[in-house]
Amino acid sequence: MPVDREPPSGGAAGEGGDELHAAPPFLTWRAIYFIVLGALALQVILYAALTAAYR
Amino acid sequence: MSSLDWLVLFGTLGAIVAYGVWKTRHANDMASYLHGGYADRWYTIGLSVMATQASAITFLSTPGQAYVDGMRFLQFYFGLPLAMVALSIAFIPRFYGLHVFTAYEFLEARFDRKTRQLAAFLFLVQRGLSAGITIYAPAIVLSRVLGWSLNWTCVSIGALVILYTVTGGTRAVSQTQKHQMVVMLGGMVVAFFVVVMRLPPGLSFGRAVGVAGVLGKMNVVDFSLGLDSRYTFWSGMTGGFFLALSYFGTDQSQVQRYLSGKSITHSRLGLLFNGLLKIPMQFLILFVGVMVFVFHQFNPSPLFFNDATVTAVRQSSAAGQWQALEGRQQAAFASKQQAIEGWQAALDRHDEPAVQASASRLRAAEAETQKVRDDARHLIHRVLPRAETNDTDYIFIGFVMANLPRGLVGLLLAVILCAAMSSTASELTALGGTSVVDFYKRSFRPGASDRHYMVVAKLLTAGWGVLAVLFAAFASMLDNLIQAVNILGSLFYGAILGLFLVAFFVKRVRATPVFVAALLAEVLVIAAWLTTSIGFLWFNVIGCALVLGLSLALDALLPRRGPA
Repeated sequence: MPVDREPPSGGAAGEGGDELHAAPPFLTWRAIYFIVLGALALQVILYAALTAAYR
Repeated sequence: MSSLDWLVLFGTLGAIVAYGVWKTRHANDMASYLHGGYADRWYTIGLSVMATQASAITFLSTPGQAYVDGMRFLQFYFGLPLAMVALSIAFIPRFYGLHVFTAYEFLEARFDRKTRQLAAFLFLVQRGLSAGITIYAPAIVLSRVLGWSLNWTCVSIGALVILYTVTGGTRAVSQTQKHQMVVMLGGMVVAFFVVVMRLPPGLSFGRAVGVAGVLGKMNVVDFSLGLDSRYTFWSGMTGGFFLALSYFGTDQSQVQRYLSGKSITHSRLGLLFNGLLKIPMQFLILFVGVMVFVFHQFNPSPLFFNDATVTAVRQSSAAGQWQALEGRQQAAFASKQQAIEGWQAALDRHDEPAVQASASRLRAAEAETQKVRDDARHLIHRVLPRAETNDTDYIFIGFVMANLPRGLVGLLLAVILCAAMSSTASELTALGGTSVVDFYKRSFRPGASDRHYMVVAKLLTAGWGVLAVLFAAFASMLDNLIQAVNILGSLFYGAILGLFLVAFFVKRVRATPVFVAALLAEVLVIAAWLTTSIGFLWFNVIGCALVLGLSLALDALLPRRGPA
């Protein structure tokens, strides 16, 4: 009979130590995420302006 | 098609496939077959992830959708960059931490086998059906170009993909996708410049976009609220986010792409690369469709873009009625010409009231054009009750065949076929891999040799390919293809994502409550889809929320064994 397994005490996220969180040599992860989300915000503003301009 | 087009088409496809097979001829164990020996760099992963998502449907349907509905479909992708960041932070480290082959293995580590296999089963059902549509879309194009039967075209495309997928596995898929993606992006850029150069000489690019704007095609962002509106900023940011999170985080056809990275850093950068480039790429594809629309404001368009259907109506008893409709369309086209000339002259004079008056006349003429097209569709339905009355998927390919110079027609057909092959290949390796890892190895034949599992994975990959081809034979009954794929995904992804989110973030919930919650959520989502008019993107959110809410409620209600 399968028995419900209680959740493990730790998450897998913490396993593997430094390798799992190593950033690329040129930027921190936080800076890379900021660039990706900043590009999204910039595009939404640009597309909203395009919509308003050519309504 | 000219011989130069054939040369470009088969030269491009043949070179890419041959390179991929040659480069990966030594895949002889499960790790090599399913994850390419963990050798891919971030740019290969990024391009491979993009090529997997960009199916032939993307290049056939999307420009046609922009032609009919404008740019608003772009909002569907607004949640994607956000999802890429969330996946990099929350999903990838967990998958790497457990060294999983498939995403669903994680669910067994957290819950139990039945939950893992439920998620894997939902994936197999929806991805198996989608693979059929992915093959069907380019088959329409080739059957039209070559005059082959649609079913035999599906078989030919399926056989080619099965051949190189089964031969080289995931590495062959990644290596070919890298080059296929370059061809796809290059081809669309070329198509964009060709359509812009075909616009009338006196019309500036800004005025061309202006014509599209007057006729409501530059509706990129819509901030209006309302659940029944299919594409808005809000549905894109929420439903699109959940759909992207589910698709990239729990669909094995994508998970295996980034788990084949050299390291976790390469996997994360590959996904974020996709987050940066995806929206601009979709903008380009949609904008090509809008420019084709503008092109047809100056050059008469067919009344209906599917030539085969038009020929059948012309040979029927309704030929006279069809001719009358074409007459009305020509009159509307002439009215548009006058209105556009007046609009341009008014702009030159900076006469704002005249600009508005001309714009109103242009809109009225376009409304008449749409009315004539609607009447044409009704006539087709009356005369040929079994014929497809949606011609959106034929608009872009019709433009390519009629207006692109020799050589470029072959290139654009190569774009469509590259896209078909790249996404189908990912789907088949994922279907084969999941079948082996999550079912065959786990429940039917544990403890066999690595080579045995690789042979079974290859056989099952081929088997899924054959099933996809069979399903493709029924895909012609579906409406707009890209929407059919997205609707299908949205019905299943929410529940699968809910399972993973509970696994990651709600540590107190046990296996049976989450399993029952996922089953109930799936039933409720399908019931809601059948009985309400809720936009399909919202089902990603609803399915996920139902699993989260129901699993918490059931976990509280169901008795715990032993001390809590």
